[in-house]
Amino acid sequence: MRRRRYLERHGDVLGQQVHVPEATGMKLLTRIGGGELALGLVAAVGSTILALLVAGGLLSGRPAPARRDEAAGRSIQPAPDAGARVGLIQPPPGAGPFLRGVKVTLAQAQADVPYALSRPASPLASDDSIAAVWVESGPGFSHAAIDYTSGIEEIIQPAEFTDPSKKFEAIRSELSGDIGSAVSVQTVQGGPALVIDQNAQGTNAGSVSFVTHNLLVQIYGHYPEGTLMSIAETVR
Amino acid sequence: MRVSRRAKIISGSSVVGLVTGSLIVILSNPANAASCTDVHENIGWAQSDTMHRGIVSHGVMVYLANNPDFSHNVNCVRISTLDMANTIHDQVEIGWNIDPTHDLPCGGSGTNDIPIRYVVVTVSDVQHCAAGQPSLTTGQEETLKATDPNKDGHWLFYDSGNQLNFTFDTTWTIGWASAQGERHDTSGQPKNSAHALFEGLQFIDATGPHDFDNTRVFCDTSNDYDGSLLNGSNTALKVALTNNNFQLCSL
Repeated sequence: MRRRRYLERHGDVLGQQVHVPEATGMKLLTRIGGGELALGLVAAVGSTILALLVAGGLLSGRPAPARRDEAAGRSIQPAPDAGARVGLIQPPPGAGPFLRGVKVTLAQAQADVPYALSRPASPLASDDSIAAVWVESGPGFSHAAIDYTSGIEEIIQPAEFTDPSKKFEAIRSELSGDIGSAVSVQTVQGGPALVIDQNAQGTNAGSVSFVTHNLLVQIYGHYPEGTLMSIAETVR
Repeated sequence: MRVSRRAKIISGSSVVGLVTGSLIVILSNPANAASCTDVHENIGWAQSDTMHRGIVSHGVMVYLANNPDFSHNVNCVRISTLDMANTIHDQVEIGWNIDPTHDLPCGGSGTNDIPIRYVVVTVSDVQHCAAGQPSLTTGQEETLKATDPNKDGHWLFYDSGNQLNFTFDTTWTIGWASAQGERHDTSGQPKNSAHALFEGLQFIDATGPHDFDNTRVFCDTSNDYDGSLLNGSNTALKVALTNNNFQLCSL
């Protein structure tokens, strides 16, 4: 009855007297004056959403700055800001993800570290799509990073723990209070892998960390975890 | 004629919608609500001879009492920390912060000028707050330490020699030992302070703690603040307003 009164009232507003039988009210909405009423409702709802979106964009503040990687010649765009984060010490341009990283060729990187650089071979990350390679080393340590044109980044360093399953589970347990199921321990190459979903805290890339050939391999990227895991499966 | 009426319907309804949306926004955002962004500046030093397994400062000044900004200029986040950084994705840090708008994962719950001790562990870009208290006394120095003593990725944290009731696991065991001042939302007026002071700075390796030496590098993303050695000592580092340009990680 209330719907009928509404349609009759708004039918008048739209310049058309509408008689609405109880059982056929909704059908009439899609005909005669009801079609225009629906049109008006859609416009009103749409413009309300538009106003909220525009205002939300203006009030949300500046987006987190992109990390410009001069050496790789690209920008890595963080996800929309989800609150302040503790600022981390930033490397100089050209150092990659390391504070004192040096940009090198893949061959130079391989020569600089005392282990084979295991690398992915997938459409998003392969030797044909390498954008930049960095090495950072010193007394007692070394690690390498490979950036791919897709935005995927691989970091390789010796694994310094003996039980990956125990280590990853400990970290999962510690992080789960912050990001819930966005952190998990899954299986990659038959072994445990620490998997963190992208944007779990609004700004982080997704990552998959696992151990192969006594190396800790980490795959980063703003991709779904399934995509990152499929890349990790191809690391040899 | 019919098209014209529909146009009127659409335009009229759109106006109603825009007004409704605007009212919702206005009513849900009080004019006095603070707005802090994630833009931040870091000014600090890193011991650069190699990576180490810990860092300690025997004098982390808590919100300098002689800081001219002491009473008024903390609009958003400001921080002083000791950091161990393996990569830009993986770090641990211990220090203090003032977070009047409670934007940080470890932000304080008090008023604008109450610094709190905190620990943040960043794992694969995810920041985990380990401790957000207690409140610290301004103008006093704290002895803070972060270390992985067994080099097994199991980090311990200390305040004034007392181990905090908190540990954290990482996939890495060594990092660059660094100390830094940090401020957020640098565009506001008056701007936040980034004053910081660290005395008795030491890195920790397998044989124990050792003084920061002249291999330390200076990393600065601020156009207003700079670092300097206090009394020419490599172990006493200060961040102050100098209006010099930033420089990124150089000797």
